[in-house]
Amino acid sequence: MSAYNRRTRRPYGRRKVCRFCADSKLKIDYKDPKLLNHFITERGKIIPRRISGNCARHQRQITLAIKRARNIALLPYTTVVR
Amino acid sequence: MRLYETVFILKPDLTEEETQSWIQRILQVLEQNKGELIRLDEWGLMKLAYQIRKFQKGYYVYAVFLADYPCVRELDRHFKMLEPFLRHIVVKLDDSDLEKHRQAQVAKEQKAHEEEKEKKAPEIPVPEEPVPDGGKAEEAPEANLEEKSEEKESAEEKSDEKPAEEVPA
Repeated sequence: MSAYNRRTRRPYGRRKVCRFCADSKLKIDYKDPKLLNHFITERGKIIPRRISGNCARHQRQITLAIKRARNIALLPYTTVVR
Repeated sequence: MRLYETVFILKPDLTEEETQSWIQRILQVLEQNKGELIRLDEWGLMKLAYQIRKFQKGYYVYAVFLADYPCVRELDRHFKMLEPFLRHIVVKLDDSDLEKHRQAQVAKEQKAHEEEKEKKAPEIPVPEEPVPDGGKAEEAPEANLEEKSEEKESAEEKSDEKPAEEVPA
């Protein structure tokens, strides 16, 4: 890693590894809201890759799964905050 | 023929019979269009993530089936047309999962079968065999009983594990 990278990296942040690459048994399924819940915010938005640490391939799968789950009311589109 | 899966939600305010008849109705449509049902799982009444037509809950049903595209289109049309279906989704599956789902259905049916047996079992009293000799004869059947109960337990564990792996909560 170059000096530039070292400076800009968060001081105590660890490098995140894609959970699905690390564990091939973990399957992304739109019928599994428990798992998908980790990848949405409290407001129901999809958490971006730069925060969740997913790789591009699995982020695409997660996104598709969340959208399907929303469709059949397993996950919310939004939540009302008062 | 391709492998598809579907999840659909029925209105929560139907009676049990009505719910079953609507499910049968959809299966009929599947049958009429040369589809083959592989697996049917009723998830039951679950809370919806958001209100649909003022309902907070819905009756979820999951099914896997083999069919051609026209059949899927026909199913889709019926889901849209029939009023008690709140939501539905049909997704194409990997064809190699066919056996997995077949086995899951078999395991589920076996489990249901065993549960029925267990319910019936206590009703039928087991005739006790008369023991001719005193000491030696008494020991033997006890040992047999223990073995049998162990076998039962291990069988139950297996049947419990199988569906748990393949049916995500």
